[in-house]
Amino acid sequence: MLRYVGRRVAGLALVLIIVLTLVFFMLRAAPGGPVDAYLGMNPTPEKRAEVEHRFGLDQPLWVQYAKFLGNLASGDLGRSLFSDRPVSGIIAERLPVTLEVSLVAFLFWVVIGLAAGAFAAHRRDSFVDGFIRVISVIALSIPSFWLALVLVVVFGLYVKGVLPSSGWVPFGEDPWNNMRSVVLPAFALGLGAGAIIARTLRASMIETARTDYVSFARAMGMSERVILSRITLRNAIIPTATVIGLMLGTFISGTVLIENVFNVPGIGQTIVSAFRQHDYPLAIACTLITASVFLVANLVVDLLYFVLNPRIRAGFLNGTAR
Amino acid sequence: MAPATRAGGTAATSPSGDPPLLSVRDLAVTFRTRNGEVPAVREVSFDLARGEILGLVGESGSGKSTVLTALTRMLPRNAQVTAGHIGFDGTDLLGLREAGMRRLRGDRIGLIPQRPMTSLSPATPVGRQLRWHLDGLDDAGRLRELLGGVGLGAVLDRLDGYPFEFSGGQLQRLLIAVAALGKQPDLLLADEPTTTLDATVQAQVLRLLLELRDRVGLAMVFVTHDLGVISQISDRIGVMYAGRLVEIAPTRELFDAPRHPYTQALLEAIPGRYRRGEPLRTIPGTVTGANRLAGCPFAPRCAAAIDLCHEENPVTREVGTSLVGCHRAGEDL
Repeated sequence: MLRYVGRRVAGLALVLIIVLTLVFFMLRAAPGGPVDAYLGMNPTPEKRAEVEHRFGLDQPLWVQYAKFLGNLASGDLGRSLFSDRPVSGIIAERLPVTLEVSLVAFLFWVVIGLAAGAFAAHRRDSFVDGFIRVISVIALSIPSFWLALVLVVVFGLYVKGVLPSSGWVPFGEDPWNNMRSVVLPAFALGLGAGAIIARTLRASMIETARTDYVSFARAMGMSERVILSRITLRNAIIPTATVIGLMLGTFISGTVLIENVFNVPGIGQTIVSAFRQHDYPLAIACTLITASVFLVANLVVDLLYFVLNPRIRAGFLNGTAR
Repeated sequence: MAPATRAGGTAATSPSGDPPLLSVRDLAVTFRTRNGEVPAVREVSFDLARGEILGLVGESGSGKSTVLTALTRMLPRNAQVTAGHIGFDGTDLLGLREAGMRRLRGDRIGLIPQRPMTSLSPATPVGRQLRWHLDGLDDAGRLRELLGGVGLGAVLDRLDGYPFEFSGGQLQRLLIAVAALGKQPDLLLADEPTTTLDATVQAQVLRLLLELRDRVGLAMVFVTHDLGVISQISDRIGVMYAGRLVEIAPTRELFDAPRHPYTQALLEAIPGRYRRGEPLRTIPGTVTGANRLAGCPFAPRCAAAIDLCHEENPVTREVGTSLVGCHRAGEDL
């Protein structure tokens, strides 16, 4: 088990290095560059050379890459080309915002999704079931950025003063208003994920309800409520956990759109401006963060699967799976 | 003759004079399908005494499993009991509320499922599932006694394992330990409990069930399509065809003197009765659509069928110690 985790973590590090290398070269291959973005139109050649030197861009590409790897290994992410602040400082400021929105969205929509799915499966073919199914299809079909725009319009123009439609209040400054400013972005971010979770759980619960082991438990006189909690949910949660993990991945791309629409100063917003300005160190650092979050989330889901599914666990323990 | 008394002959009632434990009268079950309603079980009547084993035999789709499921009132959503009466120890099972029925399940009417490999939850250790169904298992002696009773003493220290870590035979014995030995129900329903097991394990399980009958005194309805199995275990045998119980007789009687043309054809189709090289006999035609026929369902495939057979479903008649649903029963066919 520990060896497995160790191997997976080593694998993650390798994937990260590959991703960062790709981003490093793609950024430099892209037309335009930080110098143009920094100096604006028609700079003099002398000014250009000076800025290029300051950014370290006058050195050969392989030297830049070697320096980048060296700095990365020592934990130095460099300074932003534009604000001249340490990139780690910017990340430390922006990441908690994104994490807060994502975490709230995740918790809220996982709970809603699981509850709706379980309820729909339990009351299969009832009005409530039909309602949940229709709503979830609609929720799945709505692009999150469109929903975000609608929410901005509704809460910005028509229903004023209930929830802030734009902007961000840090938690340390004003916890209450911080919570209020999380609501709409989190809602828009996780809606689709909630719908998929609900549909997956419903389908796998209905599947489980048809199994021999549920029939046998019923034939032994077990009550429907106990069957639901001990057997149906316990087995139906296994495929659902996989889906929940995959949904985490959609959150990462989702924050890019959501943060820009709601003007939330998180990683998603930072990544867009960093790439637009060719702010190499900041763009790389944002990539590092999002890729790490994604990979770690996947690892956690795999480990969770290991906990939930005894077959897989046994495979590891007796060595038939590696 | 009134339907309720039709089956009141020697073979339908118990051999002893006591009132039967289970009394099924004119049971009818209908399935709603896309092509309309299909009668899966029609006019099935039988009695079962305490300590007696009744075998129900028939081919796939003959309704034998549906009868069992109706007895536990666990029919699928698209099936419905449309007529009949099921008396169990003085209670009308079909009139019970679901909660009342649930109290009978397991404790008084047990079930051994057809597929032991998939009948325990795959996500929970076996030992914990045993405790779900049986009280007092924390006492190690009780657990040892229970597992020893089904010849599973060797797995006592493996109960924290999951179902997939056990063999089919072990799981079936484990389920028998729970459903029969642990719960000690008055009535045990066994739905082809040996079909997924290999031959040696099959024999072990049958022996175990017979032993339990003698030890616990439970009555059993044993469903199978295997005549060899059913002859070993049953006191009486009911033969089902297209949803009807066409013949019911004591085991010896049925094998020595089958009265219904279908029973006769079925016995003639047992391979063991033929010498090497002699072609096996089969029953011509298929059972398809037979449960919708107006007359006797077997008439289209029956060598002895007369015009009446195609028009009118025969009333069950007593011939010797057998009950036979055939217009020509008792004739020398």
